[in-house]
Amino acid sequence: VREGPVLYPTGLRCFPRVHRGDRLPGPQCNGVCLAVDDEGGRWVLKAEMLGANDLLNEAIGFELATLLGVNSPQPALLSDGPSYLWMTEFIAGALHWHPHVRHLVDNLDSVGAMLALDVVVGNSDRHGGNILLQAVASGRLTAYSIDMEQSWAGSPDDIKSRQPDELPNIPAGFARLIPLTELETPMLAAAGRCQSWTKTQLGAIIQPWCNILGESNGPAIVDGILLRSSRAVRLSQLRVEQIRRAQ
Amino acid sequence: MIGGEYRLIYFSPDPFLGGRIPVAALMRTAQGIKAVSADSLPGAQCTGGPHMAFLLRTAVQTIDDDARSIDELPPSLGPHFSLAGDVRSIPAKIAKPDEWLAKLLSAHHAESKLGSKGITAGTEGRKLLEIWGVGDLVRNKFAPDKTMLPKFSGLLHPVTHFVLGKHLLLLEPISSRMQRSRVIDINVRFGAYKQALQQEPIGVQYKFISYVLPGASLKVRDLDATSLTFADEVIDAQDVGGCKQLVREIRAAA
Repeated sequence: VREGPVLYPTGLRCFPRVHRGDRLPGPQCNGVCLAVDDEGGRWVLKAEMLGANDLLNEAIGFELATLLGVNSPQPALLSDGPSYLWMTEFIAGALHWHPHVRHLVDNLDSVGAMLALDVVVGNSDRHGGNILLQAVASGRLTAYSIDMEQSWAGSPDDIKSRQPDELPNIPAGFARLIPLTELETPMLAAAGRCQSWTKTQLGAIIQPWCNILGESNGPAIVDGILLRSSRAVRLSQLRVEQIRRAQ
Repeated sequence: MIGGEYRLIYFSPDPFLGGRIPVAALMRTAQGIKAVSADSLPGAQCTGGPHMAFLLRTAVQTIDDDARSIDELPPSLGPHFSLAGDVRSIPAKIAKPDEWLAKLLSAHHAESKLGSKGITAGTEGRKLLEIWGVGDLVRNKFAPDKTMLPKFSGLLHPVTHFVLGKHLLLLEPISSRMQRSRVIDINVRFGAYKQALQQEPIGVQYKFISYVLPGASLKVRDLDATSLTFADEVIDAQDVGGCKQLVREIRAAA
């Protein structure tokens, strides 16, 4: 057994073991449990085994979120035989998204940017439970994006097969909770930033994850994301129209 | 006929530790589904800090908007909330079920507050320390101030007793009247101090000890790993061996 976390060149931590705790309580918290590492670090562990592409979805989602300034909890991997499980740092003191408290959120721009990111990577699992609002001492809430597992980006075949204007599904119930008057501008601004991404830039952050998770066709993933990111403003505008119709 | 059913919504200040407090209820009456919260919610001292008290207040404001069923938590509540226990009946003679439930929840918090007064356990603990001849080495109420942990000044509830000499020893007695929820409060406080001391080192080593006073209905064996995880040691001062161990710890720190 390796002692202590392995630090990959990406800065990613990989733990040989954690102490598993209870299932994460709360609504919309299915399939995840609490975990503590040997150093006392607190994590949320996706206890169900994910396929390599699902892990890549999470990893690419996290990396692109960081690139775009979308607040996301720090991830880590847990060794599980020849494969891995996905963990993210436990965000203490958090609610799920609720439009009535949005005036307390101090990073609404980040929420707008996560909506833009969703259409680029094809994340079909954005709902209120996948936006955490962490209470901070100043009496404000800080938004975090979580759970990018159900996107197209981690599978070369999936992202390549999508139509140019194809949008990932968005639950109608969630669409009604999106305050477009406040989020449309930061969403489109973030989409504009996506359009400036380069192949070199994307390759530098995506290929190391492909190496770790055994995906041999990393360049196809990069090409697929680059194609969608080059149309990010158009895709975001379509999404805005879709949300507006649902409301 | 008035009446109905309800289920309690619990708030867990730290899901890793497992303690929880009833803060609201989902109620089903002939008029439909409604959420009811306590008239007064637990404050920062019970919930782990001002941000957690803020979280609780904010969450409770959103509950009623999303209440759809008494078997399902409103989706905006995050991982600090859970729905537990059986469906309970509201007596048929109750004319205003929401007011009745709010009073019921508030009564629980009033009891918790009464049980959380540190003075009883503190006084009992002080008496024990004096009997064992170490009362003069132990000071009352350790709290952040301008010189010690200044960033946390005013944010952390005081620890009942402490010794500051060769190293810092923080002591919390557990008395016979203490409820289990209060023990969890102590643990949450120890955790908060540990985090504060890691962020603002004070130049000496520190240790956290909780000791169970004679007559306590809670036994050391009951204080399992989930109750006092942040205590470095839990000493059973109900027997002579435990008292001697406590004395040794105090003298070593003085």
